[in-house]
Amino acid sequence: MNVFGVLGFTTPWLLLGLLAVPILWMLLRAVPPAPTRRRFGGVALLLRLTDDDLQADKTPWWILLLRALVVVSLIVGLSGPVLNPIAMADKTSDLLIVMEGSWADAPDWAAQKEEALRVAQQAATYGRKVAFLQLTAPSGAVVFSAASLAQKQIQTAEPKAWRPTAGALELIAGLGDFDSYWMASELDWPGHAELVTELLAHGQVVVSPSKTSSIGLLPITVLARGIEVHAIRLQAGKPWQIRVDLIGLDPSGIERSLQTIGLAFEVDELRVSQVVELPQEMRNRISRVILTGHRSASAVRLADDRIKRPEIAILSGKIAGREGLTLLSSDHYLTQALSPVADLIGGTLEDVLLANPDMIVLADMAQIGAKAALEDWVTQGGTLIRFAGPRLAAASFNSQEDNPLLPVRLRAGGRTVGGAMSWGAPKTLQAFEVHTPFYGLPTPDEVRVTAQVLAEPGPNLAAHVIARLNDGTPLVTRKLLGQGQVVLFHVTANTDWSNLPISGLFVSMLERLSVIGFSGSFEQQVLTDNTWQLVQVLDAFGSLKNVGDRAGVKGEFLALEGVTSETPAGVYQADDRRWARNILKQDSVFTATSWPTAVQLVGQVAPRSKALGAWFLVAALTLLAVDILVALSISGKLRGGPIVALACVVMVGLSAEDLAAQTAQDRAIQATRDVVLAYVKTGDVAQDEISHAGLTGLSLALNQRTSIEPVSPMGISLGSNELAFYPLLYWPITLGQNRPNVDELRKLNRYIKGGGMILFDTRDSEIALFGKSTKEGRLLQEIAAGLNLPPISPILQDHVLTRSFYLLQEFPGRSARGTIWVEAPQSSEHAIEGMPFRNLNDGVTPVVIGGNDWAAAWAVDKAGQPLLPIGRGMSGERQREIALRFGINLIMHVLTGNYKSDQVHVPELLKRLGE
Amino acid sequence: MIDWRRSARADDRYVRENEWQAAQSVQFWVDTSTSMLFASQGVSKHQRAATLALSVAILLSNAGEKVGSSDKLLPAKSGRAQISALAHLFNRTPDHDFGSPQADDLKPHSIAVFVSDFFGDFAELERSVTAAADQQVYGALLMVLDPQEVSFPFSGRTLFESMSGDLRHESQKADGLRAKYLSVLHDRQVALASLAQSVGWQFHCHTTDQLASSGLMWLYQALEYRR
Repeated sequence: MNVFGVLGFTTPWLLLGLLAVPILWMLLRAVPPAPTRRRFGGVALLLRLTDDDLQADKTPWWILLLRALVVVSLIVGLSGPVLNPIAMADKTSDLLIVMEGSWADAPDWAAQKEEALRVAQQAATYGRKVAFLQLTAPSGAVVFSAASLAQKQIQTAEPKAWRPTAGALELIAGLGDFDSYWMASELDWPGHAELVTELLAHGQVVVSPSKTSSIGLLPITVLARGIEVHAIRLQAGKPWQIRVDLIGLDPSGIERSLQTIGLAFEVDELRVSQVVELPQEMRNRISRVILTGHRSASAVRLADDRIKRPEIAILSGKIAGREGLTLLSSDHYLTQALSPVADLIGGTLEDVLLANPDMIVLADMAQIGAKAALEDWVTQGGTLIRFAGPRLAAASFNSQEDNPLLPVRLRAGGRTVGGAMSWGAPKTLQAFEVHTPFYGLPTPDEVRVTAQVLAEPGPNLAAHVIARLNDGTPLVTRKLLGQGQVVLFHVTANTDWSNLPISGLFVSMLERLSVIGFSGSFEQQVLTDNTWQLVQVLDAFGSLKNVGDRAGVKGEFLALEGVTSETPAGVYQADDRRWARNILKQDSVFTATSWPTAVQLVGQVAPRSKALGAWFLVAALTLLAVDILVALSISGKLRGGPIVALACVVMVGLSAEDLAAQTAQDRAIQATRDVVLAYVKTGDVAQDEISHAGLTGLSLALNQRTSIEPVSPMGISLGSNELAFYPLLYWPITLGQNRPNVDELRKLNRYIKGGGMILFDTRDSEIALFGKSTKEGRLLQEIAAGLNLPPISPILQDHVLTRSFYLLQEFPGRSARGTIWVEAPQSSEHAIEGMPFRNLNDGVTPVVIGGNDWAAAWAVDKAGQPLLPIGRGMSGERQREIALRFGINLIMHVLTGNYKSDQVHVPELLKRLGE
Repeated sequence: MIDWRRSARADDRYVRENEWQAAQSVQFWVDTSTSMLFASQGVSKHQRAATLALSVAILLSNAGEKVGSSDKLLPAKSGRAQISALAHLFNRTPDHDFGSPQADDLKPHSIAVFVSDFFGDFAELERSVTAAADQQVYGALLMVLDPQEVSFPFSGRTLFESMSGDLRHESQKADGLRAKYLSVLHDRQVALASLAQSVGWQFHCHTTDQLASSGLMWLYQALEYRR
């Protein structure tokens, strides 16, 4: 591409054609336009006259200029000018487009893709071969081929939720010379510098850095009163307000934002923290924390079990008021041991059971009030830990029976060791066995047990023991009960019988037990001990997706590896524990990349290059049209008719909307000058056409047969047209209609009161049998509910409609089945003797309701022939005729009232009816 | 002549003037050259000229006058047959572009009507008119023109051809010629008017876009008026 400053040309050799323009100029100037030949009677008078301007046989200069401009525009347009061409050297070597495609690029991924496509397109115009490489997902070998292939790859590329690896190095090591165009994010990653040097070794490297600043969420700290949220960002220098949403399930089970907090980065802060006070229940429900407005995986923090704390209830039957004996109380040590890891609740057993804690600790309680309830609670998955004590020892247990709330049968009495009256020294603990929950805990020597209760030996005892003293005596026993378990420490919870409660082992043992009862907090050990399966994966844009069965990952592997494609960010599950891997760790910081000087950086906000060729060609065409007009005017042909026609076309085009809208006055004049039947526009084009055609057919029939001469019908929309001009309003009910609003209903009521008639046609009488209401019927009811209609009843055999022009007994339309409803007779009149009819209504019925689809029966096309088929054969045509007669009767009734109910017609009617 | 009967009643001598009522001869000449066939819109000049001449001839013939043509072809006679003969005469095939009136057979003390566009040779026309005026003939010159000939609405490069194609004039810029042409036309009209005045005739210019009845009105009134 030749670049002349801001303008570049793709085929610059076409510009040589501009040299021909002066030659063209000379040619055109020498050839004048042809004269017009005219016959003129007064030539004799012209014979001696000469022209003033003897030079006028040459073309005027401004025509030449116009034509030269046309040619110049054409040439320039065809040579493909481009505004702001991309400043890439005009090379023909191969091009490698590199995109990092990690979560740091996700926020402006669309812009990056667009830029990559543009670069590929531009390379294609030079015939360069293009390859595409995404560093987070290197797909096989890098092959340089046609740009379209690379463009397809770019189109389907998606960012991944991990950082680029150096695995791409070996892919490009073996290739020849090529240039690179790299769309980079601002964050550094290991192996970045090596890749830069490798690419520089192959050719020129152009880098387009991303323009969104990275921001991320660090691990959440769990506090006693809530959580603490930490956020970091890459660049300081501007204060920045961000919003953090805590997402979780609300009490009805729908996932939504439970709370929103705001964080503010000060001008030079890179890290900001905020404490959020949350009730413990809400904290347990949080599933993830996201930064709003930033579509990247680093802005999402997945919560797992570590955020939750178990609820533990400690009950000890202690008598209130003995504060002085705190250190001797049973639950002091329990509280101290458990409060860092759990939320403690107290109260009576019934209250505690209502709160449904995860674990209940009973310190030396022998008499339990709500035994059944407690048993139920344990059976449903609760952990009950009991501590022994004097009361338990003194309680009279039947050693033959199993107490459901004790793991083993206890022997009455206990034992004391290391006291004055006993043999031996206080016992220490044996190392914990593999199957116990305490496995791996160290057993320090200073833990001594001096007294304990004893378990009844039996065949099942060994299965229940989870901790022993060094002589094999069970210290802690456990029994599984349903889905829960009961654990009994055979010592007290205070230091009366042992110094276990004041040792660190006590804390660890209780922690371990609270983990069993509730898969809550755990340590690194738990991570490495288990095999984890990925259940939800976090993609680069920060959205969670459920994944199907994937192979389990060993815990050590998971602990060692960072976020890679095998161990992506997301929620892992092992048994019933969930563990979340997030992008940022506790000690993560964002580091900015640095580029060596050999790399050329382009700003992504470079001005877009625009192809101007089309504009020049359009200009050439316009000038050509102007030239034609000018040539016509010069030779005198452009006068009168054509000018007026052209101006008319232009004006009509400009003011088409004025012409289309008939003014209200014109409409009113048209509607009132003659009788006009009207139909309501339903919005359904087909139905409106049928309505129009139907009323046209009815108007034709009226013209032919009666003295009423309506002109062509008009469609009205209720909201905007005046109703008072029309004697009849035909209203077909379609399902897509809008119900009339309050103003429209008011208009309709005024219309009815003023003497208008509405013919409602639900058009469904073929399917609405036996009084079943169809959708159209229901719609009609809704519409009619807003109108002030009189009471209606089915039409009676001596209603005036049966005799207002023709004598009719039925009122078919397209179908002949439906009943017609009209205004109910005011009073039950009786027929006067001698009269064949009753004098029922004084006025005209304001509404006629039926479902026979009359418009379809009346419909005619432009030639006056029936439009739609009715029935079959001759009986169908007969039905159409009766339908037309009904229409004529209706219009007659509307326009003349109950004229035919007048007594003067009686003799004639009697004669006709008698036949 | 002295009217003795009247003079005897008084002292003075009275002279009796007698009138001899005789049918007036009106002799028409309608230009039938090709230039009269020009019609920019509506009727051609010839059609209008012939219509006017025939209408006046009918009126005169109904009033009892004798009508004929001014050349030897149709001597003035009265009667219906003369009108159709005149009509035939007016529809002769044109042979040349511009014509001048043949005033050979003009009866003295008759009336001549020349209807033409008078684009032909002015000297010949003058000769005919003065010769007719020498014979005590009263006449009317009606110039029938086409509206385009009066307004010259042409522009641009134009090649003007006469109706028969013999004469040609090319102009590079017709709207530049307009003023000159109009002045030439005006000169011709002025010359015609002064010619008519000098011999006591009437002159009028009528264009085919005017109503024919207005031309007829003028022509009829011009024939009534004799100085």
